Amino acid sequence: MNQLSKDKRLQTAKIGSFLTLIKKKKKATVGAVIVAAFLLTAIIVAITNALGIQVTPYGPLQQNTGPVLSPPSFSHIFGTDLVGRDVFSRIIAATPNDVSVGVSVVAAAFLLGILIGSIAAFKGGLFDELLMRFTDVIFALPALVIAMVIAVALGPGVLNMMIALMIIWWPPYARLARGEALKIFHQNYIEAARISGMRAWKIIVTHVVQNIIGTMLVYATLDIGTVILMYAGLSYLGLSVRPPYPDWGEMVSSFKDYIITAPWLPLAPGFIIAANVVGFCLLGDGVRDALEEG
Amino acid sequence: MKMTLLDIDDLTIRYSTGHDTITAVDSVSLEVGENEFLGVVGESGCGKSTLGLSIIGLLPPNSQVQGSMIYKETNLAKLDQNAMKRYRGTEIAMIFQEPLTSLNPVYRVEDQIAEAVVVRKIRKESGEKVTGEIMQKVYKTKGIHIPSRVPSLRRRISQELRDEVTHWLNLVRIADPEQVLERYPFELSGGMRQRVMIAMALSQEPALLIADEPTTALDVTTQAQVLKLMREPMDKVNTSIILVTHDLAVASQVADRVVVMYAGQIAEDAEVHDFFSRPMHPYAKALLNCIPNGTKNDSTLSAIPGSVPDMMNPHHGCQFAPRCPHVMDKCNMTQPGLIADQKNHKVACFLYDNPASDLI
Amino acid sequence: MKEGRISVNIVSFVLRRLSFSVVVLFSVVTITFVLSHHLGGNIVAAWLGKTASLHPELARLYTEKYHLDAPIWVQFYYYIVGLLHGDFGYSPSRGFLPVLTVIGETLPFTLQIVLIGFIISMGLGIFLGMISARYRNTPIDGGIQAFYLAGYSSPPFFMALILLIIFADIFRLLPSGGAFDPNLAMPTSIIGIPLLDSLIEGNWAFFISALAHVLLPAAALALVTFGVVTRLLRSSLLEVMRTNYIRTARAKGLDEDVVFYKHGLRNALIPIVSLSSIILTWLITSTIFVENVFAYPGIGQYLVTALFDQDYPAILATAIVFAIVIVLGNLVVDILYAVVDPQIRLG
Repeated sequence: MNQLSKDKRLQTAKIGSFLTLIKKKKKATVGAVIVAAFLLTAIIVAITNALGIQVTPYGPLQQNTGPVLSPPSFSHIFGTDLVGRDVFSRIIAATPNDVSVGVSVVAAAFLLGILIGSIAAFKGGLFDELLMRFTDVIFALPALVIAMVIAVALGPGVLNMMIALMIIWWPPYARLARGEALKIFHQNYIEAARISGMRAWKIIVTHVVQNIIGTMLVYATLDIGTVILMYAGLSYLGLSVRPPYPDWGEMVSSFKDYIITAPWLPLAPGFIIAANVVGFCLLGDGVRDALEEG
Repeated sequence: MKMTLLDIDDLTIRYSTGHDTITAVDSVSLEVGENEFLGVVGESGCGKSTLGLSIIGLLPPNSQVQGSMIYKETNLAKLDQNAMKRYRGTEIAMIFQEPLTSLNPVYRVEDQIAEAVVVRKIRKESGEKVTGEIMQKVYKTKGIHIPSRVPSLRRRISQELRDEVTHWLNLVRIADPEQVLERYPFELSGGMRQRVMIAMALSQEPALLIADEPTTALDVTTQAQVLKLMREPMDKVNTSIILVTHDLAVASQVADRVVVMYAGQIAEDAEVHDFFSRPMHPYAKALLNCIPNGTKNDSTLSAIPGSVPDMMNPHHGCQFAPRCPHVMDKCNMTQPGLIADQKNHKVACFLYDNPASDLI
Repeated sequence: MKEGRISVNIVSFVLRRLSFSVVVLFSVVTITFVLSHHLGGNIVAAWLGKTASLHPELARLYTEKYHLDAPIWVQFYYYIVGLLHGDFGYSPSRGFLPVLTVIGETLPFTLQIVLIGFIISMGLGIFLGMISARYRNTPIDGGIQAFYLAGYSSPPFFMALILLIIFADIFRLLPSGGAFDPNLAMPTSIIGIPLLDSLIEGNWAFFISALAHVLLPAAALALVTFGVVTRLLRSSLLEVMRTNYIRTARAKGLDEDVVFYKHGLRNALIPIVSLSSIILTWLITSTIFVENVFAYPGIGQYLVTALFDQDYPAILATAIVFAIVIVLGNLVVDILYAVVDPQIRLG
């Protein structure tokens, strides 16, 4: 029990130092602000949806809130679409989709990766070898293509997209975890063997997490951006949320033909996707730079 | 009487790092004669490497050089990189401490040495700028560039160049030079790589070769071999060598003259036999004591008490004073100058500040 | 030393990569097969698409031909056999043409975009990498970083739309859709890629038109992907120029140009070769979106319309073809890497 409470303190210390790192570099601070804005919006929208309250200026499904296809104005920041819905409201309303997919896929990949990597290192031998080959093959699969095929099979919806991506996203985390676990394993093998089998296992995993967390957090932050881009792609292909419900990628796709006549329609959601990803990139890069400067 | 090749006079080199300034070399004066083998000896941080780098002009950008280094009537200290380039590859060459990383990993040995030869030819024979195009012409390469073990498929250097490169490899006693020519650096051992470096430097037929700790990274046997083949060619080529080392024993094996440096300054400067038979500076004597005897009687290794001074905050007077067994009050107040005796055995120590000695 | 004996290392290296590629492709095929059983509820529907109910005789024909009533192992066997014969089924969204035919018509156009996109991406990436290394920590460096950050954060379809509106509408420099001017005659098929065929043939009118049409989509791909190349080359160059062998090169008396290009860049580019397989994969996947925005008749556009029309044979087949192209591309780059780095080749 002593060991676990010590680990908890280390974990909270790491989070605290994470915040210090963010403050250290301008890049990271800007990124953190952007990410926080998107996260907050996502959470607020999700909660208010569940409670049935409307936070956006207009309802995302509400038609004829203004003249059809009108350009950006004070009352409609991103204009209106061809049935008069407020584009800004729809973009806000769609925030939880991308953000939740981004965060949950990376979190799942992280956990799954650590699990698989640790098991592989722990068991060793042929099991390890096979598991790593399996990991390499999954990693070599073209991500978008496989995710797309899985998505088609599972059917539309945000949850299905999450599952499709989670299935293929874990390999880099597994490799990282296994590498770390092997180091620990060699060091603490004797000690671990003295304690019963189950406890050794727990100790290895905790140690792995502790040592990895620095590198992993940076990688994971950048990875969330990548997932969001991939999800936006799947959404564009019509595999996620179906109209009339709003989703960023889907909105770009259905309005791409209006690029010349009503450019705000496809460009606004596209820009928001990019802005979201930029936030995660700045944050990840900034923290990495801060860590390297030591 | 030997001619003086390089005359260093009151050379001072400082590095500035942010707000601090380190004086790496402090008012150093020494001479290198033609065909002379000079050993510059001292501990890490005494400025010997900096001295070597400054002669060939490869100091880092944050350094300032004051004083003069007269080489064939030109003050090298005043030259910029462009001007300095003309001396490298023809007059002055340098080999470095880390043979494992000093050769380009993607080119074969023959290409790298041939390149050195080509530079020499261009500079010495035509005096033109060494551009890529001119180099191509001198290479006279033919054939398309397919990286392959099959020599006839690869772009080869001309046979004339190959013969010359082989000659230089033979000079450093590499057995089977035809094989070594084809090799990449990573296929060779540390000792072999260092020989290649030496061959490469000698192939430029420099008047002055600076060797910065060339044997430090090698094992003792290889070290002895490398030292020997640095000494040997001196009969055949008219080259002076400055060997920078922390190891007095190494210097004793091959040098004509020994210069001992401490904290950026010259402590003693003498002909090798004279130095070892009567060392004068307390630091030099202490260094000689440190060399293990190798016999059973030498049960305790002696070390010099104290530590090397902080180069950022040098104190007044002789830098060695805090550790000197013969320290006097005078030593902490003023810097002793370099004084020579009849045998041109120079020392910077108040112990010898005798009106009977000659001053430089 | 035996002349003419090729190093054992490079042969075993190629074999290893090749066998791994085969495993990957086999996995893709298995995945598509397994998933085809979960599409549209009914396996026949998967193969015929949503028109299954309208053509019962076709359904029977299909069941016979593809052994759709046999156990799954048998089906899988015939599936593989079919694929190896080039039988990818028939495409309902294209009037039941054989999928392979449609792929044959569309793949060359995709390869055009990928080729030009790759060239622009690597070229731009390397060029800006050298500049940002040379001018590091200056506003130029910062500007380049901001530029590529915007690039790789943009979804490819967004980048494509931006380029479209700027160059095809505001400036009216380049066409906004299609692969070439339909009034022009196609070149004869030599390699099979129209852009290159017209070049070889000297069919300049077609070549200019095809090039004009490929430029914007390729640029969209390039602008999204070049950033990682720039970033890697910058750090690689900075590291290389600090090495001991560069110091040796200078000590030899070489001109700074020669030191930089022959010794520095040659080494700094080695990790870029490795990176280019990732760039290639990224390009090939992103082309799906870019083709859609520019209505470019490539295999990506085929896939997008197939998704819309629920043309399952086409979806699965294009997935496999994408995987093949990606795996082949990576294999070529891996071999190139062995050529470029002597330690892999011989060590």
